[in-house]
Amino acid sequence: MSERPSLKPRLRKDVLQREVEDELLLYDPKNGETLLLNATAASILDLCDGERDASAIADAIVSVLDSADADAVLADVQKTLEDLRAKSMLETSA
Amino acid sequence: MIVRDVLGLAVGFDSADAGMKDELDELSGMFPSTEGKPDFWFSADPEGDSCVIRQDGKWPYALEREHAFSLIMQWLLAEITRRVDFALIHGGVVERDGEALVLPAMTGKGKSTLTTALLQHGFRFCSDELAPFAEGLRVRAYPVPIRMRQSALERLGELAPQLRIWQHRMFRKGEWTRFLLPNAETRYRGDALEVGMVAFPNGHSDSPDPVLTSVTPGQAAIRMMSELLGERSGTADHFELCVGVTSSVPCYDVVAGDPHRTAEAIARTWESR
Repeated sequence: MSERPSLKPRLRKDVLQREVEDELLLYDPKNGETLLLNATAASILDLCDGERDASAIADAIVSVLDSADADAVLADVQKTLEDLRAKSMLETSA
Repeated sequence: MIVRDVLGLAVGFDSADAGMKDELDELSGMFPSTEGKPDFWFSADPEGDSCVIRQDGKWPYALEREHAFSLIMQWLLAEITRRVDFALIHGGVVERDGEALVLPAMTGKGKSTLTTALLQHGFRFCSDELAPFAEGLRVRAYPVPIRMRQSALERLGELAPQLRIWQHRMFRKGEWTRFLLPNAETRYRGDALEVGMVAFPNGHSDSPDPVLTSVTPGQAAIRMMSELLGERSGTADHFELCVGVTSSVPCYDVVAGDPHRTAEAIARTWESR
């Protein structure tokens, strides 16, 4: 299921994050869920500030990458957000 | 009553039958002795053709004598996971050069086979069941007899003289389990250890050669967290522990081949750190 464009996600404040080498490990102490993000997904999460929707996040990434495929970037963003949502790690504002 | 120090708890073992008391002494003998009133205790007494196990003199449970001590070990583990105040990882621990090799794994992944094989390749026994973490990132021993399926014992082949089969066993899911006792020279008797390496037993293949695959710290932390035990598992402290351990030492996934070739491969990897 794709992230609805109007929702502006951010990581729940109580989800713990730790950088381990070039990965980002997330842990939700409420339900014990873990999620390991690679560098790309971690960059996407970095842009989830509750002010940007999926399209805005993708636009921000494309703007700093010279030869990015905008559709591919949007797909990556949507996939990352889906993974985070599947673990109930996000909160969203409309 | 025999009283042992088990991870800081005083645990008693008793029987009105002299022969059973000797066996309880042997069962618990890898833990250091302590004095004073136990925090809780187990007894095993013959009654007719059965043996009756009790905890704190209560909850009598009758079963065949040859299974009695394995039940005591299960009850002991249940009490430990309920009472102790530090992180418990389901896994084996062996020691070499003053550091611990931790082997987190669920039942059936080859942890006990690998632990036993490693004892025959330069490592000393700390635990087969539990890796208790206290005092930061240091692990302690939990030396109960090694529990091994009959089929795994056959894969292991001949045991070295420092390991012997204990006569007690349990029947579990259609297969007998034997218990192995490491002799005195194979046991580690010191304090909590720094971790030197983590290896995740992940089953075995038909090939005699093992496959050791490096695992990222993040992947290793997730796997270690999945083996946390006890009511306090899954806390933020435990998360920090698992990340702390796996970020500081090499971590490997191990698909075992022949147990002794696998132990040799792990020993070489240990030496090359």
